[in-house]
Amino acid sequence: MLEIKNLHAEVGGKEILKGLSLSIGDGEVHAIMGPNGSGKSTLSYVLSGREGYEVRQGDITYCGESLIGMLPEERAAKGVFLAFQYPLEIPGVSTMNFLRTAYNAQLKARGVEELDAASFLRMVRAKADLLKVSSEMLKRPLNVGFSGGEKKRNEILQMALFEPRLAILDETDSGLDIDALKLVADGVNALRAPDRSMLVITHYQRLLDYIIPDFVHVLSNGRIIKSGGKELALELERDGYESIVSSAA
Amino acid sequence: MSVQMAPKKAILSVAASRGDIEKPYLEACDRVFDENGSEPDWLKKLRRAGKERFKAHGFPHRRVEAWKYTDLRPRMKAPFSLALGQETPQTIVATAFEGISASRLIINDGVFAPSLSSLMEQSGVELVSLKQSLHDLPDWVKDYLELNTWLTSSPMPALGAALMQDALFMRIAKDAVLDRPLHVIYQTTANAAHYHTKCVVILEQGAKATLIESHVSENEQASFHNQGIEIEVGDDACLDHIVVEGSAEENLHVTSLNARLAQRARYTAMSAVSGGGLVRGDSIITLEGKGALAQVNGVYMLVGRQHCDNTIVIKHAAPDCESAQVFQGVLTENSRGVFQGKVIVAEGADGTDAHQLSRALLLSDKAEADSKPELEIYADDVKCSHGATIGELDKDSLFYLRSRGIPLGEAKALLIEAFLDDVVEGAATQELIAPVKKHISNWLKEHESQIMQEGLKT
Amino acid sequence: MVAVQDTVKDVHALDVDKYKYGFVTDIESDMAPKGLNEGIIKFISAKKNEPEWMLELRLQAFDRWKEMEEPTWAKVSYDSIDFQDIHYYAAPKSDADRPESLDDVDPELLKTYEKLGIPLVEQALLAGVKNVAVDAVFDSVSVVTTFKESLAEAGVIFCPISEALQKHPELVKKYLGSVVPMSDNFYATLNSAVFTDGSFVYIPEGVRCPMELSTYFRINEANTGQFERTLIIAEKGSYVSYLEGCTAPMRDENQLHAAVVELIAMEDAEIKYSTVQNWYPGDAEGKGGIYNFVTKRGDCRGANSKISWTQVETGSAVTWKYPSCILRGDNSVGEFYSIAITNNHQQADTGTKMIHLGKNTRSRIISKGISAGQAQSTYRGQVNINRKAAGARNYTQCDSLLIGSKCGAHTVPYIESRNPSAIVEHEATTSKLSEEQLFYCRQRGLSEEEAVALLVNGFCRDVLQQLPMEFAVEAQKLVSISLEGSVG
Repeated sequence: MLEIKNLHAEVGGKEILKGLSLSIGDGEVHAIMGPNGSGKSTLSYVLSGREGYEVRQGDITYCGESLIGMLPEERAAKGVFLAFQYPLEIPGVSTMNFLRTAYNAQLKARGVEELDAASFLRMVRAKADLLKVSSEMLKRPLNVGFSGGEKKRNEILQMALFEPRLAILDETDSGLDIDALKLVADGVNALRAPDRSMLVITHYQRLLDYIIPDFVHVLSNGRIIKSGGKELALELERDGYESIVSSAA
Repeated sequence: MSVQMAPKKAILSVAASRGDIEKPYLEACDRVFDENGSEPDWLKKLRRAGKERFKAHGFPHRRVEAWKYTDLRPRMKAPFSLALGQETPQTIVATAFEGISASRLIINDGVFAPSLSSLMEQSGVELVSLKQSLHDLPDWVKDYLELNTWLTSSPMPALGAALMQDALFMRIAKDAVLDRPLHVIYQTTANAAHYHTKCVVILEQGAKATLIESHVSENEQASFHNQGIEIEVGDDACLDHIVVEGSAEENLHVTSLNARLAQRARYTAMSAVSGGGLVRGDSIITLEGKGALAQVNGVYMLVGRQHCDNTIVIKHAAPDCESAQVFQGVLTENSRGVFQGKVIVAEGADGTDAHQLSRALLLSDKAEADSKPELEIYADDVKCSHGATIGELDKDSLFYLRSRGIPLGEAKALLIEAFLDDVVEGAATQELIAPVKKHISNWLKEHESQIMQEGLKT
Repeated sequence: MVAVQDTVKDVHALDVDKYKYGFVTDIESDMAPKGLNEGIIKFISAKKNEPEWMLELRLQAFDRWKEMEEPTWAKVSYDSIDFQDIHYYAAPKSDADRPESLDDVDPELLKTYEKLGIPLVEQALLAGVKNVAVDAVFDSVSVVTTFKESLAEAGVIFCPISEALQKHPELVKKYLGSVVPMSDNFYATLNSAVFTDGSFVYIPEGVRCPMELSTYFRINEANTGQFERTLIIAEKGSYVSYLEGCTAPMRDENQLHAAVVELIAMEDAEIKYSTVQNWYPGDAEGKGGIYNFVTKRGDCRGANSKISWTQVETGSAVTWKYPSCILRGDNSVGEFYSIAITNNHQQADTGTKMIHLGKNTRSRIISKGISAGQAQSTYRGQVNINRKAAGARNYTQCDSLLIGSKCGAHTVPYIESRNPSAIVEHEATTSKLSEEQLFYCRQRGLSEEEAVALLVNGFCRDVLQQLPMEFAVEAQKLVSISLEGSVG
């Protein structure tokens, strides 16, 4: 469902991704691991269409369609979801209002009739309860004054709500203690489905103890230098990036 | 109709008295021109241009927006006469920096006193006195003078150019790192006099220096010091600037500072004002080169009818510059503290980071605090903020200290000291901060009665 | 906050004609010749059948005005105004015999207000339906005031000021000019000389006004100025919430609107005054638009009184306006909540003055300025704590948002305190619309324009919340529409 071929991408005139290729099938969970500066976050921004992240070469095919040149909101409406490493704070906009505005914008883009306020509220409440997101949190301005754990739970709540076909989780474990991590991972695992693929980006193997991937890829200097099963993550944890990077070189 | 005539008359009478106040100064200008007939032509021209500019504007007053809270005109009615200064003063007044190893430059009533100064052996610095080297000025001094920067902003530096008896020019060579501070001591010994000083400090690329200015006095009748200081900080150069105003409570002191910063230049200034009856610090700091940084801090501690006005304009003219202003003060008795800080971000000065903070402690119901923190922004990629508070000492903190057995006066002094030290901290090296802190704590000890007086309502 | 959704829809619906109030009503008008002199002032006064003392005050003001100079301290620039090239009086001819009820109002005028979305019908007072009484001012005259009778039952007087001069001259004489003196400033003095209509509100002691009162100002004729005068008096223990709205046709020339508003709150009284200012802002090139030079001041005359100003300023080519509070009564409260949006070539210099005279007086200023296009927006405010204002408190929060690199945002606060027990706090920030926040919203499926509308409404939330519910939705829409075309 996602096919990345020989992807070259620049940020501010500097090439970060240097010929990355990756193929993800329906319902698969792929993990991308790599040292700092290897291009992990760049990949997530290129996939979601952030301005300033320019594709110079290669292609990204998603459900048979090229993503290149598509606006971020168009990608979102087609089911591409990015759980941010640092979810943004938006003062003055209540979380509930934000969720409803975004949800309806996506429905509209897909030509589906918008959901009435009451049904929407019920749906959000049900999903929020599972992630221990309180109704008080939903009333507060989006992510403002939220703890690290609350912000990440809010991201997963949005993922549950928007039901994406491709979910990109960018360093979802960063800033979480073990209890918060388990809660978030449970939320993600509950969303695993045959028609939903996931790309889990992480620096540490720890997260993959809870979200068990089907495939693991090692990203270094803008390219995937090694791929394997979930055991590759353990290998990395044991030997460090250094040895794999140098042996692949 | 008679009611409507009244204001017109009032305006006329103000106009008439305006000329009266400036008259002695204009006459002093003419005397200076006559007595210095042998001066080079360029200097004569500069003096005359200065007089003309001053004549056109007169002393700044309330209706000039930048002087809204500080009216110079009534203060200038005092019969001051032009001091001619002495190169060999009878006395040398102690400063807050005794015991600090520094090159001392003594300016006595506006004239440099070379025999009492101790700069000559310091490497990396060139020093020129206008009076000493009048007919033998190096090119870099002449080049600087041709910029005519004294004639462009407020009329005060223009008046100074017309009446100065001396001027000091300092140049720190490229990449020179001074091993000890330059310490300029302005001492007022003349009575009922006005005098005008000029100081130019140029840091060439990569140079590093610390400039201390001490204002001290030993006069009996109030005098007026009109000070001009010009600073140029070259690419990657760095200047720390510390000012302590500790002269007698009657003296008037107006400073016009003009600083220009080149690429990645750093300028940090810290002033502590406890002296002077009226002290106006007028600073214009222009961040001309990309990545420059200016940090301008100040504290003031006032008693009696002292009036202290810090007016700072920071112009962000290039991208990626940072500036910060922090001014905090304590006002007792009938004193008045003014802070006017303006940040201008020019079009194209993206990546600007500019902050202002002004806090005043008002300890008397006859004191007044005025604050005007202004932002003028023409670029969108900026982070600018300002904060201002005016209030009294925190009652909870006072109570806490007293519940631990500290008497009220001491508790107040303690909290004020913490409030002021907060600004001083980080403005320069510990070695130089220590004397400033000492200056603050001495002031608090000497003025306990003022601190206690009218604030005692708890 | 469902309104944001509606906003988004409206933004799309309006992409053709963004200033939807720009039409002209084709109606025959009775106009004074162009120019300003004693004769014109006498003409206006005679048209209004005013008492002699009113004419005298007008002429005195005119004498003063001739000696005054236009203020230049505001950060706005515009071509100088030729005060002799303006009609100082224009009224629909059909208004000549003042209509006594809605049935008598010219149908063309009723259609105009319908088009503007202003309800001029008096719905039966049903339980649960909230009514708004409307005074409709068209050019120089009030064409109709609704719910007058229902309000009169509660003892509330709500009528055009010209009518108040006939029916309640003692009240007008007592209070007119008591907050904004006749010769307060250049524009206020001009207004004192030539004001034509505006609203008069009197709430008797202990009365809580049973409905929202509002005035809709409409400039219709070309080459006219509008000089309205509003006076609101809230007696001891009373309460009133008042809202004004303003629109004008799209014209290439600039038109002057110089109003004076005076509020008086006696002991324990409260006045809530909201403005949604949507005068024609001029076109994208900066041609045309209203010069909005307004003096608004409230006097908290009695102890424990409260005056609250809320303004949403999105229109006008140039705005010069500082709704202020004189906090005279002990424990009185002044508030100023403001959103000023400038786009294209608009300029706004607006803010407030809080003058603390009484003990334990409190004031709160929340100002949100948004600049886009080539617009310049300035917050100018003064907080003054008098020596006698023991225990006074002020809190000011003043934020500016910049959209685009050609606009400017400026902040000029004057903070003056002479009482040691007073606490004054001021905070201000200026920043640009965050690229990260925009991307976050778009990643969740919002278009760029929807994202801007959402973020800006969030930025303004503290102020929008202060508006009466009925108008909050309208204001939110206006916020979004005003910024159309400012990104991308």
